[in-house]
Amino acid sequence: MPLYRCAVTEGATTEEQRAHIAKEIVRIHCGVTGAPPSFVHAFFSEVPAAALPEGRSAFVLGSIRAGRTPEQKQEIVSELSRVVAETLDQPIERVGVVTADVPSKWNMEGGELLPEPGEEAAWLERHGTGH
Amino acid sequence: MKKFSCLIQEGQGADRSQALLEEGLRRIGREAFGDDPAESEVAWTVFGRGFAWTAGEPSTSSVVIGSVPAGLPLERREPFLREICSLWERVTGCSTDEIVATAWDGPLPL
Repeated sequence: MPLYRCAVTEGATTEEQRAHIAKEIVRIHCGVTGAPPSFVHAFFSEVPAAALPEGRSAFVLGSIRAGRTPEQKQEIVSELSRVVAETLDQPIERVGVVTADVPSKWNMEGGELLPEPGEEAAWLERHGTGH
Repeated sequence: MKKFSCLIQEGQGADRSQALLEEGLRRIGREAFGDDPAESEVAWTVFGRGFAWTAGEPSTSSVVIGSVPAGLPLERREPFLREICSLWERVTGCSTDEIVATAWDGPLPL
């Protein structure tokens, strides 16, 4: 957690594009929130165009730990929309990005309940900095 | 009713052990909440190479989302999550850092 689920049109992305977006998700999410990169998952699914929201060629649902400010969430949405649009060479209007709050204590990673945002230091001390 | 949604990596331990994991998840649901195993659907999404990333690198992680009663107290939520993580580590041989478990209040969103 966070888990970014990225739905894209079948055959419309390359592995390089997905890798770039995945790295950008880490950069954006961690830059905005200060969360450690080891928490950030980006999973891509190819779907028929009809399965995407109307008018979209890519749609990203970011399930993030609750407690982020509205400003932080807006920055994530804006920046990630721009990056996905540029990477896929699509108009930004064709890219949808939303975030959904998930309470930290609903999640276990590294064998422990996830820490609240801003309280990661002790968790990381026990687990190291990366997977 | 969908009780568990499992996001896993193609060709890795969880992909090779779906039947055992499914049986284990149904047992956990029965023991934790009295769920009828026959009515507990386990959904799988398998990500091929180049479709899943953790910390910006190819992912070896599994994500398991289990539906739980809304408002489940932490003293029941934590053991439920721990059971899922232990099952994954035991069956697939993954490390504790390669399994993410979520106890989702109410029906699963995905």
